[in-house]
Amino acid sequence: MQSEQQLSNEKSLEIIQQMISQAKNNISDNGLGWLIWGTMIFLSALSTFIFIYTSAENTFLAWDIFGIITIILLTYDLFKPKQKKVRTYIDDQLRLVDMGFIISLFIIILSINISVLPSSGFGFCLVIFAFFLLLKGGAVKSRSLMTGAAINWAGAIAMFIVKDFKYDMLIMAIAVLLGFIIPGLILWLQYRKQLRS
Amino acid sequence: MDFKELDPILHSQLRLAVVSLLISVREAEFTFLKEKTNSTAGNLSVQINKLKDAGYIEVTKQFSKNYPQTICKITKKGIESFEDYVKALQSYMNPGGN
Repeated sequence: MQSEQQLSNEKSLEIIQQMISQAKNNISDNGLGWLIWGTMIFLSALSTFIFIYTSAENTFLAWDIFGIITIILLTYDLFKPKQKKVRTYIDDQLRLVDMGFIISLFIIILSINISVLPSSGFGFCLVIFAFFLLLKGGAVKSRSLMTGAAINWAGAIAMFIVKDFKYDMLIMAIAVLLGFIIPGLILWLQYRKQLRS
Repeated sequence: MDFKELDPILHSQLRLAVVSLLISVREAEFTFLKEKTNSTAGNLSVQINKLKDAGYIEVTKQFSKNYPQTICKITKKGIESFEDYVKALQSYMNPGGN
């Protein structure tokens, strides 16, 4: 791009529009986060279903492991150097959304351990998963994440209706598979395609 | 017809592109601006200094993972000048308009 080239008014407007659009298009998601968290939750929920079904002893073993991995991953994320070339206004808003989501999730997990029935508590987890999916999906314009939000809300309602905890875990696994893993895979494939082009 | 004068600092292809990018984000690294404007490092560096001298942008130099990093951010003066520039452009493009 030339610096001192004589500019026509039309060219000036074109540059402004082009650059603003370039900055807007910079909001993206490589889908890896959805794949990692989705797989962890999916495996935890599915193994809980299998443990209850087979009358295994430590029903919540997978969730205990999930909790430890979560703490390790969040600590790593907190201290790892940030490498973003650009910081947008929406990035700052999404950071607050992330923080709000993590705090809400920890309070729900705490409530399951203190007073709330697991069946209800995990249902509320799906409610905030759905809210999170909707906000993030809207920000990166991902229809699959927003569809995932609807699926997770439907899953939460199903969990509140179905009283058997074993099947609640199966519903959770399906909701996370459709709401996190598949959209994450779609975003990842799109990201890879974008890198190649 | 009263035409507003176009700001000579902004009325340059690369400087206008840099300010248009910075108006849309909170802050951006030099490499991001270079990539999006498709300019050379030397030319971009000169234009960034001109914008900085005019008080339109703030430039922070820091180290990240032992590599130098230049972060640019638009100032309040830069935002106001950009808005005036767009208004002036509109007055040229649409002289009969309000």
